[in-house]
Amino acid sequence: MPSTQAGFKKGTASASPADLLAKLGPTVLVDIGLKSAAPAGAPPDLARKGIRALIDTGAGGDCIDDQFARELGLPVTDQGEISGVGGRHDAVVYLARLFVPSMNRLLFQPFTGVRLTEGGQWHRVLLGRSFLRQNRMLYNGATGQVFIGV
Amino acid sequence: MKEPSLRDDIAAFARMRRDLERDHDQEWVVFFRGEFVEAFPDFESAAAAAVERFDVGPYLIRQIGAAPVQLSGGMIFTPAHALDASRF
Repeated sequence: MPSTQAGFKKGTASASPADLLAKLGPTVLVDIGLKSAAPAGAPPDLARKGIRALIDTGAGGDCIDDQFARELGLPVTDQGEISGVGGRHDAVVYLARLFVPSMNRLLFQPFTGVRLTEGGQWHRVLLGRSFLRQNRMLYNGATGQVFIGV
Repeated sequence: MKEPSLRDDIAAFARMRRDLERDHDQEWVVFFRGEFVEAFPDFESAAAAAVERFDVGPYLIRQIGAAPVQLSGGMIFTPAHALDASRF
């Protein structure tokens, strides 16, 4: 399985790579949709490409922005309730394919809908610990680099 | 024909819950138009079958006996079928 960089190689005028990693967190670009338009054997061709996904080691499950999921027309496959520091609210579960081109890795799984856009979040997808189940992740806060590989 | 509804699927699941827990513990089940379709050993095969047969649904795909899911920032997602049990 190929490895990928989930940190920041370049900074901005006002922020170093280490600053960006501290502010935004480990991030990979993913493609997402329900069905691939690619022929069998070719890399998946999903509806939306280059979507920012946060590698969230504080989470067990994976999430997708509610508004984004609706725009994509993803099927709703269950419902339930999210509880936490913000109280309780209803939530639904979406079905999606998610492809990480830099790792040549395809997921086909449920994603809990959360309000990332509404909350002004930079990411549209959150990938929890299950994403790293087969991987090694090296986080270097001093340089802003994050390696994910085997 | 009546429009497919996740509410109907969830109601059907609730009616069959005891039988499903007895016969399909930890398996993934699919419901469509308020009827049990099939049980699968894993999520991928359940989802692939649901998309192939029912396109974008809606349909219910649920693991029997699934526990709540820990999400980002200390949030917990509790599936609807586990809510009653967790409140009493």
